[in-house]
Amino acid sequence: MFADLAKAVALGVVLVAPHWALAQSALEPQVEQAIKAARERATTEDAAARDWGRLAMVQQAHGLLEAAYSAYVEAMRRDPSDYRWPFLAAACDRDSDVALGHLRDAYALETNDAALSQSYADALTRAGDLSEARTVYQRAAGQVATAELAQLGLARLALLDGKINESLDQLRLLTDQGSRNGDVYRLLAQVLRRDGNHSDAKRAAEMALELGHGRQPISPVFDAMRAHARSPGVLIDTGYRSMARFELDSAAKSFEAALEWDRSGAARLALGQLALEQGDVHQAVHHLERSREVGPDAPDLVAATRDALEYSERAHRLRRRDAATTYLLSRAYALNGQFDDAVQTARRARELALGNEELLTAIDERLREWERER
Amino acid sequence: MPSNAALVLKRTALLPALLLALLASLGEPAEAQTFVDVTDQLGIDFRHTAPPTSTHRLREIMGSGLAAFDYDGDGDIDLLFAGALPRGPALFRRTQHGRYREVTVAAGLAASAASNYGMGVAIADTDNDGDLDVYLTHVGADQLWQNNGDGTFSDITETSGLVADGWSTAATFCDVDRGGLLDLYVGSYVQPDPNRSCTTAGGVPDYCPPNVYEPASDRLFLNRGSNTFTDVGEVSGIAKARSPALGVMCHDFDSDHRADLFVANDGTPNHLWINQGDGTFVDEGIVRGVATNLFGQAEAGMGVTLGDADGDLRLDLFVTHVDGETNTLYLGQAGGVMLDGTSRSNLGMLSQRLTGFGTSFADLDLDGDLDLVVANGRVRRASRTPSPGQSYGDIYGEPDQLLINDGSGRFEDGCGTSSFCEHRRVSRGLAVVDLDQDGDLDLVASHSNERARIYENRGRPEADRWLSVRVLDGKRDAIGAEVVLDLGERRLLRPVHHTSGYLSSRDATAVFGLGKRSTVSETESLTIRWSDGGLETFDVSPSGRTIVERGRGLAP
Repeated sequence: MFADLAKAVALGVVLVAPHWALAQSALEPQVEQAIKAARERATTEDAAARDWGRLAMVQQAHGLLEAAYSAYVEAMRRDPSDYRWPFLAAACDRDSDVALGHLRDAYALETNDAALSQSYADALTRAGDLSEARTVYQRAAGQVATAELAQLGLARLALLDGKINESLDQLRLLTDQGSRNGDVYRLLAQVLRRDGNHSDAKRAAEMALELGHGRQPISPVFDAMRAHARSPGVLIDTGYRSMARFELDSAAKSFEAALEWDRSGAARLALGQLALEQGDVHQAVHHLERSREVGPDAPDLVAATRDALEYSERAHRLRRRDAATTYLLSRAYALNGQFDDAVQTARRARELALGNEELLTAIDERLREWERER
Repeated sequence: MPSNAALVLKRTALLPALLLALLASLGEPAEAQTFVDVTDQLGIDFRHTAPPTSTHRLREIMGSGLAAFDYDGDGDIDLLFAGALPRGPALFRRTQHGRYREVTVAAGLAASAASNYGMGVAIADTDNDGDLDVYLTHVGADQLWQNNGDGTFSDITETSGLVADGWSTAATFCDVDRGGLLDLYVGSYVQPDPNRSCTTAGGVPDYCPPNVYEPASDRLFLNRGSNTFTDVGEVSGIAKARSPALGVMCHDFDSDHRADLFVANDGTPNHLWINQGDGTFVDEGIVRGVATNLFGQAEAGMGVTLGDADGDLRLDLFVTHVDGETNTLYLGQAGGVMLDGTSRSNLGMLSQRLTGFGTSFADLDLDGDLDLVVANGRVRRASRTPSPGQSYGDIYGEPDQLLINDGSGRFEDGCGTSSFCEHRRVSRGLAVVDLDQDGDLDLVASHSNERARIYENRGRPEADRWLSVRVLDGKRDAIGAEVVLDLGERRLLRPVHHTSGYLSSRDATAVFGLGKRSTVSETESLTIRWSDGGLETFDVSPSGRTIVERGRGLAP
């Protein structure tokens, strides 16, 4: 051992200390507390399946998938008729065939959950069970919530089977219906290229890039699980999912809850982005100014501050003689590191704000700060 | 020692008849291949040391690559490991006794350790003089080392015109302008930002995903001769894209006799840069089916390998990904398009819980079809409750994989008793080469915070036959060529290239396993499709080693 150490030092090698990770291994206190409370309830004598399910959901919401899986197994044992437990258990980082088995069990109990149908059919496709996947997609294609993704799934299966025309027909059906799902056009581009139609393939690829991914079915089961989160990362993630579904009030609640524990500024950034989505540029600038801890060059923050500036400029074009709007523009310039513009605009705002002592004080304070930054 | 196949039979013989019948109904189990860890015997002592700091800087978890090649022209495979600071790279020369001796200082490579954080190793004969030169990618400025032909290297970065700083990852050499010299593609990852920090969903500090960083642009350098290069990234169109590249493969994917470039990006769509023949490239990843998986998802592309997985004489791409995703097999189709054939290959089921980095197609059992090797290791904490006493391996380690092809392009776990898959390590670089020159292929793997390992292939029954072919165009390996061995009842395809999986490189010799054939003809036909489209066919003895030179036939 000591000979090895001496040799390592001579070579300039830093030996890996066996305990370097230990100080960084603790869960957030509020997470520990939530898990502890759920575990206490689940381990009482009269605990029911829902108590074990709740413990599992709290653990899963915080990424503790192995522990969550064990708790789901117990919930399934106590109530084999509740499809939520095998559905959630399937997402717990298990071997693919184990996960597929759980999805199969869940689907046998509930065929009307759009997210479950989609997950199960996709998993069957991944596992190469194309015949069963086709059956599930076909059933889902008859339901409004899952029709588009199911048809896309059927187009994939046709492509895998080498049935180019069938795949093309499925995809054409979707585009004719006005699909705005980039994945439809992505697959269409491939199929058209294979069909020898290079120019249409290229156009479809461009559409795919323009549209991005399609919306996945909403899963109330997963939303319920994520609602147990007590860590900012999960809450922020949940909020972004809500934003993607245009459930902006729900997103705001998640981000504000995250703000209670967030030390990195990520929740502020999320709130800033949400405010931009809502067209509230005052709130956006307010949050973005406080989100600098994310890292001044973080891509999301850079994009958001750029948007904030664009919106502020638009607002200012409409209300050039309004002191507050002019001051807002100056702050947006500063957010983007354009301190010369910020100072110049703030001075103009100062002229417009004469008599408004509160605003003048705020402007003067910022002016001093930006003068230093210039 | 009984072969592994014999062990499998012995075990199954003890099982009840019912279970045997069930197994038979499921098809034959993959025959495991035995690899034995011979690191200690061979004298390799290299460790990529990058323990997590409190800020969890992303580079720590990315590991580094290696190269397995004959740097001194003595016919043996030597080993070069890229390494993190302060160790830097390490070159090991294989001696005549089969052991390795470190020669980093003697070869002049030690100087490169001064300031750069090692990532990858690309090898190629950049000046067509018959020896292999070395390009080292770094977090920091990259370096080109000219092989002096006498067992030493010279740092010619400054005079070469190769200016690649930032965070370079995978690099590869191929002749994109058909000028007769090998040009250089350098993948770039992200703009490093030591101030970014991330946590798990439970609030435990961990490595950030790449999408929180600003991605970087890749570079393309044309070789102008005399080891000087010109950056054509902008004019070629390649530098206009900004994506976190980790894997690169250069080949003529659309059969127009011009080298194209596949780039595996980490979390963003892959690129397939199709060479337009006028100095520009167009990304056709979407229309050719390799930008995303079948479901339209951009995956965390890491390692890349090229080979004919399903024996249809078309080259396929295999790309490794993070856990939660599957590794993806893109099957080559007519017309230069590819199709995500992961589900039918069974490779999805085998990979969903693992994070793959280094990978290589290789005929491990010499039965003619290409098997797969995957070096695994997490980039984020395992999803178990953190507790004191967990080691680095507990948190980030995963077993490596040997995946055996059943001949139809369907793969099964073939680890058996191989020590290669026994341990949970954070594996990154990988090369599959015939180190001991006994015909079968051995493994070299680099790991983060552990010694690099060498595994000897001991699974080859004596009756198996093999053919290894080195294909030369002039003095150098014919990078970009395709070799087809016609055995009458079947034909086998191998591409000629140095690129190996993740940040690594290897000797370009093509190895064909010939299986346990009962009848062997005196000669077999070997067809070379050169990178410019030229075709040549040769008669070869269907066993042993052969060198084929363009326009000259078999070398004496």
